[in-house]
Amino acid sequence: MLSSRRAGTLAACASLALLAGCSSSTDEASSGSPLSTAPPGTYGTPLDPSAPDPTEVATDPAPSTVPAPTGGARADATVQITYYGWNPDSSVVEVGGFVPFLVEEGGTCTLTLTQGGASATASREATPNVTSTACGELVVPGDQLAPGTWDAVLAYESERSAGSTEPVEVQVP
Amino acid sequence: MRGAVTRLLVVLGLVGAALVAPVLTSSPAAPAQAADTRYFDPGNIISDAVFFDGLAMDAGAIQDFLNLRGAGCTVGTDGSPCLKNYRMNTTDRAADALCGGYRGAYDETAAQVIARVAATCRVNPRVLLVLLQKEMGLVTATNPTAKKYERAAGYACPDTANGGCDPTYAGLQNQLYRSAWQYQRYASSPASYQYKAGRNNIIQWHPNSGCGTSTVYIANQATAGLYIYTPYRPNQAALNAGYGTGDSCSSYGNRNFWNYFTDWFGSTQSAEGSALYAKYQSLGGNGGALGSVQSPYLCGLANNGCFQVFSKGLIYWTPSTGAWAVTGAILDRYTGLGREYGTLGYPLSDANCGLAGSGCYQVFERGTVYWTAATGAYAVYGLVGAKWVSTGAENGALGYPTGDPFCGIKDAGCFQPFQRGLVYWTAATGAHTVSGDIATKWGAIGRENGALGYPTMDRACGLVAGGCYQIFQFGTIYTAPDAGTHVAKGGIGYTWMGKGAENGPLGYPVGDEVCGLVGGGCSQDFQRGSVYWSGATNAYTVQGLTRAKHDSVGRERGVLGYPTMEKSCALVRGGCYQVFQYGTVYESPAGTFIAKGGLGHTWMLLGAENGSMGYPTSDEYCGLRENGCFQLFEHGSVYYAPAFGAFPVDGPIRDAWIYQGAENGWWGYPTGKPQGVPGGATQRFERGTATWTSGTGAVTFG
Repeated sequence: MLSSRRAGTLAACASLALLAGCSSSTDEASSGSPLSTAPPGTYGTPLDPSAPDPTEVATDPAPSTVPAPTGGARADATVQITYYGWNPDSSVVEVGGFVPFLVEEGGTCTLTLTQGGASATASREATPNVTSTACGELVVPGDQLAPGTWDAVLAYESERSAGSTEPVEVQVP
Repeated sequence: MRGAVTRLLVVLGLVGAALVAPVLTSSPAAPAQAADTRYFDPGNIISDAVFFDGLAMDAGAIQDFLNLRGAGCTVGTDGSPCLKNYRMNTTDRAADALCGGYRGAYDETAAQVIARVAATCRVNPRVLLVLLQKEMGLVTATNPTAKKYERAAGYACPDTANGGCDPTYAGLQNQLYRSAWQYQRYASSPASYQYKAGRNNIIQWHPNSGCGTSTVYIANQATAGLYIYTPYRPNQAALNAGYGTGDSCSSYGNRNFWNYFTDWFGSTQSAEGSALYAKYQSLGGNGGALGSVQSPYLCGLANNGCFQVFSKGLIYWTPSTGAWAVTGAILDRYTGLGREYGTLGYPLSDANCGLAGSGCYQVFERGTVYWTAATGAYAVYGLVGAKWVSTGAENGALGYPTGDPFCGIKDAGCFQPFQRGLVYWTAATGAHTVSGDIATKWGAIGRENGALGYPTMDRACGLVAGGCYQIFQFGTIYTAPDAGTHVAKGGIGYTWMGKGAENGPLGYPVGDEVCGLVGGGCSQDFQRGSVYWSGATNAYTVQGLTRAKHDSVGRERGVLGYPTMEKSCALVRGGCYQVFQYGTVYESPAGTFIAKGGLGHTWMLLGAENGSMGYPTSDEYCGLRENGCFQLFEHGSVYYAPAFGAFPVDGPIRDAWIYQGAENGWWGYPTGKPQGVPGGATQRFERGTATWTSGTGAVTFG
């Protein structure tokens, strides 16, 4: 399912019509690693303490969060997986994620792993953060999982919001 | 050169800036004064050590900084003051596990608030300054607004019923405290948030999910925290643009954080700080053995060293020695010895405990400090320390040090006290231990300044009767259970050793040499004899029955004086004699007696023990009439009175003389020697002549 996520990314880029940034937005192109040499200057001693500050600085848009719906319907929440995989040290599947643009108390994140007809879940109370709500790390012990490929879906649900990710594939050895 | 590179990057960055304008528009032509973003590392935007350097600037330094960066600021159009002039009444915040709380105060400056939040939440005040800048541009703002202060750190502010910002979130103090608290929260609960240090993380380039993601290995908690706070990675176009605009998928928060930090405060990395920070964390951090941070990283020490102060100790670091903590009594001693510039140099280990007696030790470049509760902390080093180690260190005979090494004593020597002994060293004698009863004796006679000087060996045992000895520069100390602990030295010691020392007839010394005797002499007693020395007589032993006799008459102070020869024992019938200054002692089957003075001389003229009188059977006895004296021998007596001289009496004449009252009788003292005559013998006395007739055996007097 990861491949389908990539396809979605590429499609989004195509719709943005030749933006220069899009060509570097895939995982493969993202390895803009820094110079391997040590950076100049030392901590506490800027190279030019008297250099004037820039007068024009590009900044991010002010963070906008989803307003809480006032009616009975729950709003759609965008959920993102930020890391996932098998942790050989603790023999568990770990999935991290969060809900951007939404800050609220009382939500719950649920990880669901499926393999054919089998499934396993883990839940965790979500944590409101500065401009988002964090699921944090959800863990399913390996002894609940047969070896092979599992699909992982991370879902968020609260009284006011709900949403889930596309599945990603996790290999259990 | 740096300027050229910066400009080049800005030009490249313009490529992506054309279509989507950022919120705060940057002019494409603006010369952004950016750090060299080629060094921006998305996985390590800032090190933990730098990020959590909570005491990096105090309020004064922060104020200076605000004055500099806010030089162009004037009161905002809405009346808001510049950050450099901002003052507020702060409120109390309770301490918790993440921050140490905040005691509200009246009319605090922004610099004070920043410094206090940084210190109590242990987040670098430079980070907070950059946060204020990257979120609301407050540091360099020329037209500050109430809105900027309301959400100063970009911390989301729940709306109130009337659409305003919840006052418990709004304002400089709340925004800074909550932000710093939040960074500590990320660090203390990494599993509660979406990015984690030490693994690959999927991070969006931009709030627009269509811009895609990249995978970043996040190297540390500080960088994870930045992404949790601002969950976008700047793309290459953003980096190429310096402070300027990249492309439609560029995000700027973490780039601007890095740019501002680097331009304002130098590198976001610090090898020195990281070494100190890692050591502190390994020891439990704020709740660990070192307690709370009390200083920033302090560098510029010898060998490019740095240190940091904590409530319960220090950490020292140099590139060559690494980072090690010094605490408690060992720190006190280290300080007393001049710390890194002093005797010991930098630490090479932490304190290692669990030694005998619950002791601890810590290794430094030029020595080791040992501590126990009972002994305190003291250093061992150099040749004295090496000697101690060779004896088994704290597990050896000497135990723990009870003082530091002390040098500058006689002959440029050094010494160090330990629980059960001392180590002394000089270049000439080397390092040797002195302990136990030998140390007591040596101490009693003045240690190295006394008669013996420095030890030239350690104690050696295995002598006869459980004895031990130790040689010093000018003598030897012997100790044995039955003899005590005493010195052998000088002429007397040499004489004793010439006799076989403790294995010889004298045995162990039972006293030290005693000098200042009559005539400038010295003597020393041993188990089975004494040795006497005087300038006039040299050193000789006095043993056995002769010694008892010599002792009984007052030793060297008595009638015999000092010996002038060793006892000689080749006399008739197994007899021995020893000549003293004023007489001779004879040991014979007849007993041990003194021959001296006129009586002795008279006896010797008669052939002494080989003559007619045989061996003495008494000492001289004086106090007779007219100051007379006499002495008994096996075969006669010798009498002396000043008026008549000394003469022997023997045989039947002596018997008759004694019978009539000896010198107190009518005959009086003998006044001549016995004379053999045909048929008998005669001898003159004061008042006549005695005649013995052998034929009749009769003695007549007339």
